Amino acid sequence: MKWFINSLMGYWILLLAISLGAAALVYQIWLKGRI
Amino acid sequence: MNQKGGGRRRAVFKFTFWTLISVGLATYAFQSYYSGQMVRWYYHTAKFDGYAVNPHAFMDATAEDPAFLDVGGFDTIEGLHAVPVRKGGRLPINATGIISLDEIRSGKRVLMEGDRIKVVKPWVIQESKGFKYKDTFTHKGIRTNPWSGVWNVIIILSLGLALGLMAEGFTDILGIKIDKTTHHVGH
Amino acid sequence: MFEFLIAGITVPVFLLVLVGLTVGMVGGFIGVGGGYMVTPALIVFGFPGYMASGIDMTHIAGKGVVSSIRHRELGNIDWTLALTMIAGTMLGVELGVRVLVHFKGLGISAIVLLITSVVIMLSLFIYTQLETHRAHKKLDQLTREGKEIGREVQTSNLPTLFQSIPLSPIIRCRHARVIISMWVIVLVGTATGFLAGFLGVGGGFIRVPALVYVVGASTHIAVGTDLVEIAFSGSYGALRHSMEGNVDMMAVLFMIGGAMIGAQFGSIATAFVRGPAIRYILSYSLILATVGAILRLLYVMSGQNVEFLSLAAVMLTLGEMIFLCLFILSLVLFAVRHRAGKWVPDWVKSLVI
Repeated sequence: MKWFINSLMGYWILLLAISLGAAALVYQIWLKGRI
Repeated sequence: MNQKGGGRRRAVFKFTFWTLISVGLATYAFQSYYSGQMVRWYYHTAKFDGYAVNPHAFMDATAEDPAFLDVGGFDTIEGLHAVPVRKGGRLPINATGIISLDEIRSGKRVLMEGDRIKVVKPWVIQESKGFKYKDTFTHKGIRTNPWSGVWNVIIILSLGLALGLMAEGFTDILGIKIDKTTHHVGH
Repeated sequence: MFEFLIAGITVPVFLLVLVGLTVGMVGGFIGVGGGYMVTPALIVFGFPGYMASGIDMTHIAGKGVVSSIRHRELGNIDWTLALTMIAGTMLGVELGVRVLVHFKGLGISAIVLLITSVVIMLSLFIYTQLETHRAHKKLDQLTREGKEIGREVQTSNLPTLFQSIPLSPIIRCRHARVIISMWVIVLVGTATGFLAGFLGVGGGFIRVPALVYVVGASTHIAVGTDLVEIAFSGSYGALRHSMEGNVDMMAVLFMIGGAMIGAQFGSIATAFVRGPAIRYILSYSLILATVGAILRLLYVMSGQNVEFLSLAAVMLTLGEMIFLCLFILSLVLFAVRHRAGKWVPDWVKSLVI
């Protein structure tokens, strides 16, 4: 867990994972079914 | 102390003034949109000869359950109407698309049956740049009033200016000092 | 849910405001319009493709003005540079659009255009990332040696090369402290404008690196100056698109509502960081956009059969906006903590002020 904050690469991966998760949530709730 | 008070007063005035302008512009734009003015400017004239329609009215039509549009010189399209238009002619109210004569001649999606237009395929799936989308008759053959372009740009630039200055006023009121970036210290 | 009378669809308004907010923040920070993120997002929301571009371009014009006002206050605009470039930019965009129309007439496919965008964005990413990494290392070294560090450290030799071109008139960009041939600036404007017109984007993600690595401006000035260009080229694009019937003003208004707030955060955030931090965010934006474009390209090449690719491209587009905002907010948070003497990761210390 510490590597995800102590290194630039790790932080990048952590934020990307959070962001993609949030994007999936937005898609699931509001965008599914729209072309 | 006086200078501080004067600065504060200026900030409040700046914020209030630009907020009023922003709200005014946004309200004006909103009203133009909802009164139908912007809509009438958008669906202004025809790009080619054909029949002006409101595709929304027959979006659910299928080959098994087609929609039939009454052809006539209606001033306002209400539901299943089709109004003949010529290139450059003004569109009737509620027209949001034009079915071209070529489309009718090809008969794949729409056909002429007597004095009615039969719609069997109101939309097709198309692809562009990797995105699939529903291609309907909406916006087909529509020419927008060119002045609406000028109006759009004036509104958005004025709104951008008003909002930007309103934000500046806001940070001034909060007393947030925005220092100029020092670009060239050291290396 | 809001009914858009012109676009002919209903969309949850908060999505438009959110897109405006996130892209406004990113744009204010790295000096881009963000069209390559917004246009796909609007298409996913249900707007027709031709309207997605038009709505995006119109909102960019307004957002450019909002951001420019804040950057002017921050002292990040070199007006000589901005005004010299404008004519070149407008000419370039017009040329780019005409060449695109010509190629489309010859039957050139969407695949070729997608491949061109991928190649350009990937090359920009590689160069920017490598140079910024070197600059970051240099900053760390200077910190260790206890030397005084300024706002900017840049390790590319290209600006020296371009500044030595003796084509008159040579102009002095006082604020950027750059003395360079006017033709280089005009060429930068024209080339970046051409790519923008051809690829159908705003051009900021090409112009900011060009201002830094060709003209030799500092990153902050490149960002502020580019936003002025974007306000101009966005207005021109907005006019063209409106006349073609590609703009639903209500969608634009909702987006600008969000963009107005986002742009404030993004622009002011630049005051908390050094140049390399901004260039890092720019390079991340490039690589994520490149991956998104590759996914879409693979989807098109698969004959639109592999639906997963399309879904992945959508996820990435939405995720990219959120990612970049989170990173910018992190940098500001770390800067504030560092100023207060609190713990921050080692890699951040030399990036923030």
